[in-house]
Amino acid sequence: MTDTNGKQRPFLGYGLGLRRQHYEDVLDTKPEVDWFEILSENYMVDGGKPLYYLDRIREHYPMVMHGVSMSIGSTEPLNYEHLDRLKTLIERVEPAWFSDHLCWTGIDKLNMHDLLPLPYTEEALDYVAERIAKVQDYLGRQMLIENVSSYVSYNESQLTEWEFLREVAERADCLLLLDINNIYVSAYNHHFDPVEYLTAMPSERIYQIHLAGHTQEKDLIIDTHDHPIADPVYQLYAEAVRRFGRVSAMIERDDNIPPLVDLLSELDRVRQIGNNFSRDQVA
Amino acid sequence: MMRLSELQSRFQSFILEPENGEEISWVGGTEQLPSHDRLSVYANAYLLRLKEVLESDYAAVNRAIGDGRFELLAERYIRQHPSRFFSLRDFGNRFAAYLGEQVEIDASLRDLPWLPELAQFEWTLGLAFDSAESTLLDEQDMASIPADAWPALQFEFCPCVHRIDLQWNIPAMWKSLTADPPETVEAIRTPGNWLVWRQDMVTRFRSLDEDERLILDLLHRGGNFNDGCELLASQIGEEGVSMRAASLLKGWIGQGLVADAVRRY
Repeated sequence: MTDTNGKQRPFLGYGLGLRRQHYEDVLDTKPEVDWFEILSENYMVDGGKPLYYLDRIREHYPMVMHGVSMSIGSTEPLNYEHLDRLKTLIERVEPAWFSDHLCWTGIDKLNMHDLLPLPYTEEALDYVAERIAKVQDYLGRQMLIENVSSYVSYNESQLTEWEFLREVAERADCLLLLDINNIYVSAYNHHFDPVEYLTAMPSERIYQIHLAGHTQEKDLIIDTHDHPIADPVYQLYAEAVRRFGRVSAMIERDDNIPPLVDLLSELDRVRQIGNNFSRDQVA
Repeated sequence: MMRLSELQSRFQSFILEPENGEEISWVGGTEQLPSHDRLSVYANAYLLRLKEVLESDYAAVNRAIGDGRFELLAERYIRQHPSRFFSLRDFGNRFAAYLGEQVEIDASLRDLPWLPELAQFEWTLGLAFDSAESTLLDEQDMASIPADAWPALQFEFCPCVHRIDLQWNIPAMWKSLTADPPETVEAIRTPGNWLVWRQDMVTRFRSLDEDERLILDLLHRGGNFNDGCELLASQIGEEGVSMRAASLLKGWIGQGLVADAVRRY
């Protein structure tokens, strides 16, 4: 698989989100995880344990960086102070790539600390594509943009989410982090076919896949990341691998963090699905 | 057509004040799941997330007053001080001051005059936890300083070193409240001066004798070694100064408090 610049898409293997509860275990046991994803904001501190463990673990594993605060879709000006902090961390970690979400997190200098959805309008499309391009220029590298899960749809939307995401990626010439769980959650919440979503994705831009658990409530699925990956999400992941081939994939567990060994066995299942379908493709 | 900025403004207003009574015409909804309920997922998550941050940063305060009272205070703080920070780490930075105001005006908190200090202590522990690393001066560095340089020597303390003055037995309360399982503890008014810092990735604290507090504060303000010795002399008399100064310095070096010693004229 080659990307938009004709390069071979890098394949890091199968990874986990690095969580503080596992720092010691990771260093003591050096588990068979191909790479770790760090949550960038957790390491934008001056010193202490987070950076100490980050540096130690980085010595043994490749890493990618994942952010939650860029607020790329906010109508507030880009926060260059934040981008500078991100740049400093990128220089420290030397990640394979960095990512953030296709969302906004607040306006009027406030932060809702949430990944709020955008309306899928031409106005938002122009606006967000230009902002991503600016960030890429400023940081001197392409970024990965991740689809978020959502519970509302704006009446103003003119495009589907997948049309919007694809168009953003094309116009900004950025890469994609596809969250399979988020597609599943949003498909349920907004009654669309998740396979149609996958079909619309520009395969060559997909550098990373997120998998996670969710919580089924009465009329909505909430993207809680506090459960193991659900079976339908595994099935959708298998569908994604069939379509896109080998893509670096990982489990993103954010709450109710289980022992590392439990995540490793979950990751085995991810690896098995990823390798099986990729092998089918090669054959 | 509603512009992006207008949509974001309405969305954020709803999160901050879900019961503002505004008609929600800009989000789709059904009879089964009205737009208000869909938007409420975000408003509820906002409140819950920030409450969890305060519970985690102020675990001892939470235990001291119990979940119900803590939740009420946390919610009021969240409503009055919406986050202006890129990271949740900083969200609770005004909680101790907020508790200070509440203790003055809220009759139900009158029996908890120590509460703001407990919060301030927990926040200071957090500051020491992830403040910047720095070089550390060791005994060999000290030994290599020429004798004639000492009077004009100024000390730089590590960024993780924090001073805190307390009117109550807060450190003892904090220890009991955060023990597993928590122990019962009584608030006792006992003024004291404390040092909080981090050594080998562990956050530490200890009380300071009056002469050590005075000299630390003086050196921290930029006073030199000679100024420090004069201050010690006024506290303990001339004859004990060199012994006491040497012992204090040895302690600070051993505890990893001193980043550098610079001779300035």
